[in-house]
Amino acid sequence: MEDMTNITEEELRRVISMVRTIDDIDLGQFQPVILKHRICRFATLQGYESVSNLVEKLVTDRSLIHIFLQKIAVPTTEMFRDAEFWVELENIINEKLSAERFIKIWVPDICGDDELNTLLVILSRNNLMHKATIYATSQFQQAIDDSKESFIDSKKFEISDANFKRMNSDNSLIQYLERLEKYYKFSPNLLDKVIFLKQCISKDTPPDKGFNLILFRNRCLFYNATTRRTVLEKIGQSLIPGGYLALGTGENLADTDQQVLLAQVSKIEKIYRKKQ
Amino acid sequence: MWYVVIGGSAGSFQTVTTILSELPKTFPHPMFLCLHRLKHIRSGFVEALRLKSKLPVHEPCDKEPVQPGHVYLAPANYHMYIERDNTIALSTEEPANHSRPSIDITFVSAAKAYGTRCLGILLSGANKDGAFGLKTMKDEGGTIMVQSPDECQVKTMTAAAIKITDVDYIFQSSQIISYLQNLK
Repeated sequence: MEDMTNITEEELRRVISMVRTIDDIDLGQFQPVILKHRICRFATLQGYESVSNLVEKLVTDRSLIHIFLQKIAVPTTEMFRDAEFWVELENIINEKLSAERFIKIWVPDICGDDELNTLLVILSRNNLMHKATIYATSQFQQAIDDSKESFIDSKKFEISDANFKRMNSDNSLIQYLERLEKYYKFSPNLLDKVIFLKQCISKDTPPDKGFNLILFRNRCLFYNATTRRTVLEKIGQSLIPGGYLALGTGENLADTDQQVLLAQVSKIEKIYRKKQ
Repeated sequence: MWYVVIGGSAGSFQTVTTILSELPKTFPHPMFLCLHRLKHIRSGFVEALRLKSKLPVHEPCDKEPVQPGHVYLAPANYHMYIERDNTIALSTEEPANHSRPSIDITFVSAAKAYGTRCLGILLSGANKDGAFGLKTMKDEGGTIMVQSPDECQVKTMTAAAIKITDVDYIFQSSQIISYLQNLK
């Protein structure tokens, strides 16, 4: 059996160079070990005999690059992942942000729409949609298109609904979805309020400034250390004083200037507040 | 320096706590634990291991540098990779072998990062996760061992590894402990 875990540094460089030329996306910014795994996984799923065969095909077949990019980005896992986090964030939204005249929110690097949709549910059930301006951005056009449509398969719905119930909710998530024949579709009424933009977080300017909340959980995992630092600096600068940043449980602000400028406000969850 | 990577699933928790309780405070090698666990239970596991261990045990954050004598437990609902620059990378990618964290992912990345200095140990478990990773470790020149299937509460995992690769040692847990205590 061919070893589907092997990709040479030279092959990796060729893939990165090809993608940069065709789609202006810099895969060199991604965490090397994860990028290699994504490429090898793609080769396996597409039925290539070896990773080398895939690399050869990628550099000669431009149409394959687009399929490759759809699969290389890492989607979020489920709605209401880490229910305890959402309980804490909902408390902050209710106790702190609801007093604001307007709430400006940014969800960068969407891929899969679970985090965005969860946020929309939280805002909706607290009657705050009318004062919220929400930006959702990604450098992957496909991620934006998918998020606008927001189809959810039944397995993901079950997992997400169970998470929702862990938030001590008496209701089902179904009230925020439309049931189609094979899928669920997230409420278009809520998605209509979102401003979707194509934006590369590491090199483009943020979609706006003065955010009250930036929801950025588990997205920096996929950037290498240098890019992560750049991205977190940008994110921190985009918050207003007193604004909140949410990261994933497995993340922190170590090795960035932001660890001085932001204070963790939750004992367990990685929710930070920009100092005044 | 060795890099010890342990994978386990159903029936492995007791073995892991026994191993940790028997290692001295001076154990110099970093250790990575990738154990299947419930994804929505984020607390309690690492605390339980800490109670038994003389070594510092923690769930690493993404990009955390690996330190000698530390034990790193893959956090719930994250894959744990080892990067070639001796840091840890976490990921929320799709489950592998129905598992997140996946033992194969940790084992393969450790094999590529550490090569001949990698020691892989596979314990009791109810699916085949880890078998391929152990094989990769062997292919990269590392040393691999499995808990004796006779001793495993569930032998599917170790049997799968024995089937696809030539393991260096098939040990009872007491022998695993002894081997680690003498690891130079």
